[in-house]
Amino acid sequence: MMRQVIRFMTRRSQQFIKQARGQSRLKAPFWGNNIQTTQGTSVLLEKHIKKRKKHMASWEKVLGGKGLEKMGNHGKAASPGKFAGLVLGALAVSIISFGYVSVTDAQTIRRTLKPADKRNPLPEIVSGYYFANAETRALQDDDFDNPGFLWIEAGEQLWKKKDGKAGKSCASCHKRAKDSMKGVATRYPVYYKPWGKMINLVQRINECRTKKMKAKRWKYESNEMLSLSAYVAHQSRGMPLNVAVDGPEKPFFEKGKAYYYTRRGQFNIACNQCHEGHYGNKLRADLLSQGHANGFPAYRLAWQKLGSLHRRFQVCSSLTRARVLPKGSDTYVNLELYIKWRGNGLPIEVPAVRR
Amino acid sequence: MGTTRTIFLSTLAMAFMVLMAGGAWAVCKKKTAGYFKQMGVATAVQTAVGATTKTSRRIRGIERSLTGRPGDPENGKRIVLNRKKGNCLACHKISALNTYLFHGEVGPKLDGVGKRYPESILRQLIVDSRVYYPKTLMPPFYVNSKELNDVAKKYHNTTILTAQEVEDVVAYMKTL
Repeated sequence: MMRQVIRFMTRRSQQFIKQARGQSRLKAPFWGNNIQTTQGTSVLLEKHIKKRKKHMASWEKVLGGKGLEKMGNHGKAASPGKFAGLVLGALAVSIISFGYVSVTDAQTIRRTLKPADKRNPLPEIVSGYYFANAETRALQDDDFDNPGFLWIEAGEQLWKKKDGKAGKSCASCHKRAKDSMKGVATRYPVYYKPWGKMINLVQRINECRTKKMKAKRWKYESNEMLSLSAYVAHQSRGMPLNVAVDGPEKPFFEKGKAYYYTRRGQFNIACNQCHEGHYGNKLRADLLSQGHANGFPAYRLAWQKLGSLHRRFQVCSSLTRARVLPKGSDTYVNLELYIKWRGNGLPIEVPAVRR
Repeated sequence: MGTTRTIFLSTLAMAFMVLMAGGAWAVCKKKTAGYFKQMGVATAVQTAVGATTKTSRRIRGIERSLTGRPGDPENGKRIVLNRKKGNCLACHKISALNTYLFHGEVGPKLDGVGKRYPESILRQLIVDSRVYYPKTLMPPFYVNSKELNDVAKKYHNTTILTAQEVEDVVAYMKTL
């Protein structure tokens, strides 16, 4: 009797494993057990805390002290009296935290998606989130812990800040970002007629700044640009990437694809060889991901900072000892288009946390 | 009449030989191990037809030492571990180096690789493994970067490993 039960149970478990493997090409213990509490990561986290303090100090200069009290201190309301302050603070904390929790709960990210486009070479689409350590995922899950929110909050201030000769801010035309910028990041990069080529979100912000606001352009990787572009992209969090490639974008899409599949650098590797052929396998201590762009601008623990997608491209290029192109170059924008198309359907996770 | 027949027959024979070589190559493209089963036939055919250097390289690998000197396995081990030189553990698992954590899963295990392949093939695999596996992602460790696409200026006209370093790694592989 016992033997039969045990046999049945083992068979059943094997079936489950088979089913699980049938759904995903990735190995069975991939989701749960890739917790690596290595010394390296915890050192990175400690560094991150130090840097976070420095960062807040540096923002004081940019924003002139405004809004900094809010930064990193969610829910700490100004206290009119001792007791009332405590109560109010507790209330505010609970309300705001409840709000955030409900947001993250509602934001259900499915593990794998089937690509809607038949041309997509990937059998399944998996966000970079699932290739990260449990520690890193936890950092992203909690909006209070997620260091990317420092930039989001700064971006919120910059959205309202008037700049340039026209005396305008983003808000004076676009009003509330929550309404006007919702879903914008899912479409970008788009075809831009005046240039006759693709434009990504960062470049679009700079176009607006120079043409409409008559303000100085921001550098691609400047804190201001990272903050505002992350803030704009954050408004589409949870919405699926939906990049168009069949209209005037087609030639640029093809160029991006050609770049993706061309071997380059002294290591003579093309993007697809790791991110298409070997995702889910370990490259030394790291799990190779599918290389999606749905989390960028993302906070990378290796950078101790929010960083743009093009910065990530540069890292990949230099790792293969290939020529590193400038951020915002046409080739990288085309590549961005192609990579975002590969991830069409993935929810945007800005600000994502990655290793 | 006789001469035309001999010419016809000889061309047929030649075509047959070429087909055989092609077939052997197609089999071997999949796995180098499969290559060796066919190697006897293939080499015979190739020598009969008149082997090109490229195809003979495919079969026999690089037989001569790149430097003429034997490699030093201890230094080879150092290069295997060095992240800026061989960095083999990034992709391969080597059980002999278990004290070093986190071995990659991208390439095949290198345990017993010295017994599986002759030295010449090992040397060719390290120098340029695309000869055996055209779609490999293993870097060609001893190919001048002039021949490669889109290389950073810093690495222009260089190879990842020097000739002696390749020999050292080959010597280390033979100990596995």
